[in-house]
Amino acid sequence: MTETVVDVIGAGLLGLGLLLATVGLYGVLRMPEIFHQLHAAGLVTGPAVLVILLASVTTGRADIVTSAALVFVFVLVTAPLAGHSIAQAAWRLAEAGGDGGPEVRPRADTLRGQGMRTLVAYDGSENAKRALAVAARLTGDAGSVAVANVASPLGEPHFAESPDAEDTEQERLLAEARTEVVRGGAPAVTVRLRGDPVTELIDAGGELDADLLVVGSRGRGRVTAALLGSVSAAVAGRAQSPVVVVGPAAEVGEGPIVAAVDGSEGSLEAARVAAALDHRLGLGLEVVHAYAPRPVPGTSAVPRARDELARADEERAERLLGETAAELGVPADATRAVRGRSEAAALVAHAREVDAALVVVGSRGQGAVRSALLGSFSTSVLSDAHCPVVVVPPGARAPASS
Amino acid sequence: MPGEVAAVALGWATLLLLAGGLALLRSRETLQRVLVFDVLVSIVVALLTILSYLREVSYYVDAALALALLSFVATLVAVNHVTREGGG
Repeated sequence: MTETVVDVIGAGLLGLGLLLATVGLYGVLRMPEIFHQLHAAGLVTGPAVLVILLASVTTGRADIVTSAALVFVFVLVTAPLAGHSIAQAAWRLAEAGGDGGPEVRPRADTLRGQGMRTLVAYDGSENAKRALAVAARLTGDAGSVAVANVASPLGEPHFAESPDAEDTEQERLLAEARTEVVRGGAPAVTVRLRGDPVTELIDAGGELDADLLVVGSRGRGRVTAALLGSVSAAVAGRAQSPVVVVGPAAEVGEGPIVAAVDGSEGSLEAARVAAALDHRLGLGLEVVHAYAPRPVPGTSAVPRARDELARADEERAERLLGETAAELGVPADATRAVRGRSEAAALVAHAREVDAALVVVGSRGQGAVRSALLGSFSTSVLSDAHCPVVVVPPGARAPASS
Repeated sequence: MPGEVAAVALGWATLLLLAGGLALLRSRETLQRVLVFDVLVSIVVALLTILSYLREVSYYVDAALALALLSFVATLVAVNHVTREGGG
């Protein structure tokens, strides 16, 4: 009996190891260039071999197990080292060969004008095109828009062979984007960047002293975005200035700018940014407190208790709105309390109802993992809103309102 | 471990070795060849280990250890060389 179990485990380990090796090798054959191949190769040189060596314990032979243990430790140490040294060499070669053109760094005086300074990311996709239109609309002719394209040194295959082709492609994309923004009614300059999209965009925003960052979003759900990485969500989470995220179906509505407040300092800052945007755009401002009924166990069966709780919630919301309106100098009739299944759902539904031009929310600056696990309010609004969403990080400065 | 299982695994590993050879032929850059070579050695280490299970002797695993050691040094030297020469 025991022998059969041990045999099955041994066969399973061997099968698993060979399966890993097969998958890894398939990856090496199919991937276009070395950085991609490194991932796949790591599967063969590391886990596959280790699992096959692990199967030695099921042979029941002390000499085989001892030798295999030696190889196991050796492979465990050397496989990552070898992979790392290859990756480092490939990176150095790419760095040496990939910088064909002069480095184009944005400078603060690139963006002129007294009005709003906007940085918009453009990669030629449909979402990015919509982001351009939104950037042009928000900035207007008094400000200026910088269109940035980030060439990733790792994203495209064989980049090292044709840096010129890549430069040309970047210039073509940016020229196209610039025409689009100028047609939208705002002066535009272009910025060429290279490197990690999120870091480069945020750095460029800082160097240009941009008031707003505008990015298109592919509208991936929260889970997919956390797994695959969403550039828009990462920019919104890490930027120092307000970030406008333009979702796949987002249109600037005909209604007012909706600012979500919950009494926190972050949401007050967001409301101030919304007020500044309203001052510039003249669309009207609505300060909204969205709340969800607080679940209290045992009250669902008692209608009177439930009603009382709902009334208490309502009063609390009204009080909060009154305080916030006084703090911001907004008339009381521009405030609304809305209630829904969740705070985000209530806000999104209300924004749809009034056909909001923009939704402005504060971000608590949680990391990607934390917000995916705990569910950040701004992340849910981002994925569900029908209009562009402005995420205001803690400590952001309101855009110039002239 | 039953002999049949080890025999099938040995055949599978041999096929992987052939596929690895194909990958070696297809690679164009020097660094890609170094990488595929590293993968090939890993497959040979796996092959030798399975062979030792099949024959129930330990010295194949010792040979695998020597091979892994040589391959590690060879990879580092090759990478160093490619970095200095600028690849090709």
